[in-house]
Amino acid sequence: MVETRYILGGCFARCLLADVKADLPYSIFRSYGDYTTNLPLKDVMNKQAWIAFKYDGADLEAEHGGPARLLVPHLYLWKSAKWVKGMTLMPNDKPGFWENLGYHIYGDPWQEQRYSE
Amino acid sequence: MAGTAVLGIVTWRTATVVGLRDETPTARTLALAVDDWPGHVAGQHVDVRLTAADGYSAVRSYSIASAPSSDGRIELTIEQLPNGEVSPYLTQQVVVGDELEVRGPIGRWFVWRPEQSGTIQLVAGGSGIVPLMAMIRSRASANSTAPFRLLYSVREPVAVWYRDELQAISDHDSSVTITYAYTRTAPKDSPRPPGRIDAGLIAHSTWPPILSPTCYVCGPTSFVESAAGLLIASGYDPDKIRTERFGPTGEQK
Amino acid sequence: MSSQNYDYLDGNAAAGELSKIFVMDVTAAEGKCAHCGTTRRFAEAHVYMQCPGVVARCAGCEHVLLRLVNVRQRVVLDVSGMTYLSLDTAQTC
Repeated sequence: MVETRYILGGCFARCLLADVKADLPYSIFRSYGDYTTNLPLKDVMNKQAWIAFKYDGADLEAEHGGPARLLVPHLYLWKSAKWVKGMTLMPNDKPGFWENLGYHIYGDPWQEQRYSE
Repeated sequence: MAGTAVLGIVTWRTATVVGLRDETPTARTLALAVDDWPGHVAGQHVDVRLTAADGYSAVRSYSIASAPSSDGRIELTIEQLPNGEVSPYLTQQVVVGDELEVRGPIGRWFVWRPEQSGTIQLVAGGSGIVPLMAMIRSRASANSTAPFRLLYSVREPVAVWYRDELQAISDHDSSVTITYAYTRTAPKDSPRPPGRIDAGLIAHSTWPPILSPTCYVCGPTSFVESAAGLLIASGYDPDKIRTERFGPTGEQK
Repeated sequence: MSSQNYDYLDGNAAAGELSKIFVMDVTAAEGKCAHCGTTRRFAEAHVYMQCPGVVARCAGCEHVLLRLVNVRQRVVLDVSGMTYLSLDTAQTC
């Protein structure tokens, strides 16, 4: 039996801010195609948020969200934005693309926060 | 009738499987008897909803393969996809008597009605043949003499859907011409080697653009973009080209 | 999202969901993109159905025309990406 494991590679999202004074509590990630998703900065700075840009050793393909995508496994999947191109720090939480239409502003699956209250 | 069709579209109706027929080893036609079915026009599709015991539901769109009729029945031809979430169930597990939920008929652009007497060019890529087959069947059942040409791109001869029926139609009706474009494996007597459709094939097998035909192009998205581009490049009026895209794998979603 | 990316459907695929709000089938409607100003048949829009909701993008400039989500028993539709939608109420085909 041949077992294949596909590995996503990248870095902790917190690495983006290594040389930046991150003194605002909220963030919004911007993707190509005008998609945005918002996250409290603490959810970006923990060791659960990744920027992925490799897949099985090769560059992450567009089909999987490349060249770079956000991976936030502790939150619902729409927070793991594909095709990210930038991040903006904000003083207040601001709903992103889906959050504006009724999806939960935080999105914790353990609290079933799929839709806004 | 039209008013009923418009107002009834949002309703999910119960459809009972009344027949099954394999078109190929990986494609199966489901015959459905649909509650209060308002009738349909060739080219339209339905959304099919499957709900699991835990409440999880999946919705997929499938073009109606059958001609319009008044018996409350429709046929869908479904391809079994290797990583499909829904198609393995519909093609392998569904039995006569099972119930599904359907919504529709849907679509007012990618349709052909027998009142259209003008020249028609159909271009199918793989599973894109389904709505075009509904148009060919609709034409036959309405005894229309509208000039139809079909260019059907398919991997290999065993992958052709509705082969016998298409053969019978082209044998008996001189105003329907069918060209098969095999992309991987062609029969020994095939006039061209296997390959994707190109400008040369368009020039040889489709209506001359001067006839200003209405075109219907259907199949995977990449196929539709390529075929529509070739038609426009050969002189077809872009405003008379109607398209329906089935996504990257050809599976309607 | 390069032009070589073919993982989209088209307006035909979104018509079922949109029928929750629109009485008339929108596939034959013409829509004017609020970003690039071109008018196109809605059936030709590039539609993405896999996300939390439905997104329809202009086939010309790829900007979002509309998005739709189902939030519990509510349907939410944002059409701010279209200046207008135009339908022929008498048209059959």
